[in-house]
Amino acid sequence: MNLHFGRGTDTPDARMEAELPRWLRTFEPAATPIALRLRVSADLRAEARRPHRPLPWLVPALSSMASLAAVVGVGLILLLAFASASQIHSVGGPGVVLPPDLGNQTGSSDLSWWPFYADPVMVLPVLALAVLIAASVCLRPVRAAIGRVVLGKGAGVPAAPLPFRRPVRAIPRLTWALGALALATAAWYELLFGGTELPGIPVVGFSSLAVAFAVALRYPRHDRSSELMLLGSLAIELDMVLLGALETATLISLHSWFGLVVVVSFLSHLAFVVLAAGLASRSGLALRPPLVLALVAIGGAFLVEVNVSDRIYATLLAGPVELVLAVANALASLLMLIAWLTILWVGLRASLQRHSTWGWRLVVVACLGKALELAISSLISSTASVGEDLLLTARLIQAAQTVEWTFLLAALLVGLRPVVTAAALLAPEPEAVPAADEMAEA
Amino acid sequence: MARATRHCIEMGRPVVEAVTKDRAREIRTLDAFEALSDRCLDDSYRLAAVILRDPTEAQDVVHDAVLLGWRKFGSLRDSARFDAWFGRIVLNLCRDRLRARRRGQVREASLGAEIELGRRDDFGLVAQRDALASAFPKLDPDLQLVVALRYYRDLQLNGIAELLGIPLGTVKWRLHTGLKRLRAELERAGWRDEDGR
Repeated sequence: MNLHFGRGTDTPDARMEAELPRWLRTFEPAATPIALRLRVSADLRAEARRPHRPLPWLVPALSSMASLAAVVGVGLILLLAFASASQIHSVGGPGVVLPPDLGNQTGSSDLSWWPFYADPVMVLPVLALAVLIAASVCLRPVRAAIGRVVLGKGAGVPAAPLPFRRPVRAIPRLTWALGALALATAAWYELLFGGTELPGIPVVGFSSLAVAFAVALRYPRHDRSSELMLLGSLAIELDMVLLGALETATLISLHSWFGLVVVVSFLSHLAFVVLAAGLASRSGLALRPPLVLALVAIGGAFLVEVNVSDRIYATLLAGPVELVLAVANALASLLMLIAWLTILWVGLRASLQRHSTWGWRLVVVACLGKALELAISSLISSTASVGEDLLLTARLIQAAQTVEWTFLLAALLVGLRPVVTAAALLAPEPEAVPAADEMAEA
Repeated sequence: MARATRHCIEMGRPVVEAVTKDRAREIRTLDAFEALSDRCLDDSYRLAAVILRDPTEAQDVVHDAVLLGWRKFGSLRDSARFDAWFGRIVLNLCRDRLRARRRGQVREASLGAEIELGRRDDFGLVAQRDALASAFPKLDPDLQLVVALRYYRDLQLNGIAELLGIPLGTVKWRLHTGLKRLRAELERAGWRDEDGR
């Protein structure tokens, strides 16, 4: 019969508590093995002979400081992003597009444009959001998930690229399908934007599918880095298609249209982060940039992003929806910049390794193309070009984007071999497992 | 740079003398640490083996604890509290192992039942212990630690709180929750009463 546990002297509950010590003692070893004593003593002596690390107190202190800085930093970033994106004139109704008035914005000391001045309570939800995000970053499972997904911890060394020359039959159907889709999309974009004055959009739209094609062609599909790259590039393409569809949509109000564009851009940037994570994890290197360098890079990227988004969103009026969308877009762009910085860091480190390949150097060149694009964007925002100058700079941006995507594609096609660490090189290769029939014969 | 070396350099004495002094001081410290840790080794090994229910893993934990303790030995202010300090290191490492085991779902402990079979216990007792062996690993590592310390070490709640460095209320809650969940797991496993009690 099944026991029903309750209280009492001879109840099953009491018997469970009586049984627990006996059961636990069954695991008690008779004595400490002499091998353990010898091993501990030898390793302790060896440990004592090792030279001490300089400043041993620094690492835990830095770890605590990093946690604190994460909380404060995320809050500050959100607050600054919100404040910078809301530097909008409060003239007219929401949804009306006005030409930028940069003179007033940069030199004015009047705080009436700042929404917190009019309604200080608006600070509270922003701070609450900042605290929530920072708290989630401080949680161990969240950090572990970021480590596993973005940094590829525990994924092992990525597989080597597949040979470029191989029988046609060996190429999977997915690769052919992606190639055909890339060409079809490029043609569709050409039809859609062919007549416009910004011919770069088809190139960018084509590039992400081309990246997916290159990944499917050159890398094993069941590798974590390949999966991430495929997922990211296909998601980017989907977002580009959605953006293209939005371009042709005429029945949506300007307000909704702007919101949809920002949401799709947000998703597109997140997709690029996934692509970057896949690209970075192809190196097989643990991603541990120096803390100061990472902080400087993230801070610099944030300043650039604030500068650009500040100018872009200055043309819109201050409504709560626009502000939220502006913050979301600024953060997504910041994420994308961090993703590019990650790629650059991994590309540089992999290029400097002894067994590096040309692919990693091409990745660095692609990152330089991105830097060029950012420089041009900053130039636009600082000089406030209009008319033909604006078109010229937009074309320059498209050209820079074409450079970055082309070199990224070239790097993927040339082959991004994982940079094997010294420890992995020194480790003996595993012996080949004999086939089942050979074992049977033996 | 060690204190003696720096002092000698400041006083203009030869550095070799300073290095020798530093080395002698280190060796004295190492000997002291080894003597202290050796005293706790048996106890720690037994406790780790019971908590982890795996003697091989227990050996690894004790080994890691000794090395970690040596690295952190400088932070111990009162050497009279070495046992508690070292015990906490062992328990923390055991907790980490249990967590890693839960993540990996490496094994289900059923060793207890096998041992009891060898001791000629009756079938009912073996079945009960088998049920315990499958139910106990399902508890959270923190709960497992408290239950093991209470029922294996027979420690009072205050002692457990001091050893783990957590408040007394937390120990009470963990023990209560641990037993409750264990009971629920056993009920789910259908812990049968063969002798009709």
